[in-house]
Amino acid sequence: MDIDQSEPSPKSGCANCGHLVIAQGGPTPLCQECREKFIKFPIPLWIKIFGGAIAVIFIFSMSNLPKSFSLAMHLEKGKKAEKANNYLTAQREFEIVIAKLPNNIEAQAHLMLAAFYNQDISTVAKISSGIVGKEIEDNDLFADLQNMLTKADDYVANDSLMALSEKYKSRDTIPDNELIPFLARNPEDVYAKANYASLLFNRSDYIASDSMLSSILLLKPDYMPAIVIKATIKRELNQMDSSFYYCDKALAINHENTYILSSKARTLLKQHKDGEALKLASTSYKMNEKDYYSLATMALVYHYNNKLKERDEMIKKAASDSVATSYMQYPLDVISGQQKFRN
Amino acid sequence: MFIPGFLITLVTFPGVIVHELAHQLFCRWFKVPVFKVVYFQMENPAGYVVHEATTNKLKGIMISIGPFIVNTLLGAIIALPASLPVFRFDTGTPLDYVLIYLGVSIAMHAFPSTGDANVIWEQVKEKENPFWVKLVGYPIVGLIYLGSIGSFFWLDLIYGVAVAIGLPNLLIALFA
Repeated sequence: MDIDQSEPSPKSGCANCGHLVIAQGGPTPLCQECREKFIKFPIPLWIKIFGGAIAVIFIFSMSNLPKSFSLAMHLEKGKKAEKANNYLTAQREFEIVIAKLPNNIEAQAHLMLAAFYNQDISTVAKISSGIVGKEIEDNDLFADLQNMLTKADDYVANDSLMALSEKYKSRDTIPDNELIPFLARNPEDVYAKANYASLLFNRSDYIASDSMLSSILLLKPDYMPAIVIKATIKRELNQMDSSFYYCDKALAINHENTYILSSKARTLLKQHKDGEALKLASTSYKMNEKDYYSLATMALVYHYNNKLKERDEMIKKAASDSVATSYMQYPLDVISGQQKFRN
Repeated sequence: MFIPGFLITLVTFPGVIVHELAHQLFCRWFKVPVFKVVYFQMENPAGYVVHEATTNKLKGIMISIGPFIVNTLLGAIIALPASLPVFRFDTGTPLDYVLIYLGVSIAMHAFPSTGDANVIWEQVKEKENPFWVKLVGYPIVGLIYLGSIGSFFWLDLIYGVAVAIGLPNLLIALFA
């Protein structure tokens, strides 16, 4: 509270010391020296010590500010990327936060969401086991997680399919005479259907695979594995517009789906749009150099753009990893003439 | 929940000290003599500054609203390093909680008191004042009284917490 008042003058001259010469500047009669003294009314030592103690604590805590500020920035950037459907960027940002704050529920929840849309189901499973039973205060985030976890059920084999897989050692070796009746008994098991569609695709039975995928998308229009295989099948069937349609459908869900960006680049390549294909494949590869499908696509687009040195570099990069080598096999077959990619 | 005002004032005494210090500093910056400062006492008012009446209305208003500026800025700055660990990451150390306590205490005493409002009122209502003084002064008095009424509904505490959380979030929103 401030109280403005003119000090009563007990005597003529300066109200404080009685000096006869009064300085100009205010209603209170004060000499120049007293006016200056009252303007600089002293701040007591205990206030200065109190302020100093606060300053010491403040400076000590400031040492942690860059770290916490940087983490908060990564969290915020992740959320912005997530909101913009840029899930690869979002996942990277949330992983930085989790690396420093492994128990942060908010970052874990967002990471799960981003990982799901990046089809990184192993990360979803890893995080979900740690987050179970913990309270999520943000209702919207909680609802998004619930929704995602419901969808995620379609991305793992259920017990019946697991039992069948165990009987035949793996899902890929279940004979059709077992699998087809199983699908008939479980018409809503989209995972099993997608698995069968993938087997049909590998057998180059594109029409049957396409039909199976259509039945999945009737049930779950956003089921990403079905959309991804559809984009490839349509390319193989020379239905380019349809291939682009499914690529764009997948990209609308996740703008940074590098697999589908590369798939789109391959469709462009098949249309002899080699320059556009190179541009798109490069964008995808720069986005995620660890995506082996992007790496293999780069080899393919370099090949058709007659950039043989760059192509061979990509092939060399894949040679050190067995999974990358399997992705690179198709471009190698195309290069050697064993496979025909386009007319 | 009703908590007696003196108890709140006692707990948040750093804010009262900074509030009075802000009045004093504004007097010093505007070269207005100060005759007495009570930084904190267990009486009503909990603190006050006696200074020379100023004929310059702007100076008078600024001295009265000085704590709003100083307490808000200081509260935000003091809470800054602790706000993210405490409110965002749940990783606050005891020192962080001390800073949050200080930041919130200081910021929640940012509102000028009704005594400050009365000083402004007295200065503004004079007939010879130009129109702009009334235009600025009356809303300030109104806002101070609203803030005073709001303190019954913990507006001062809400403001203190908002200031402590607000600055880092504002910076992150700007730079992320």
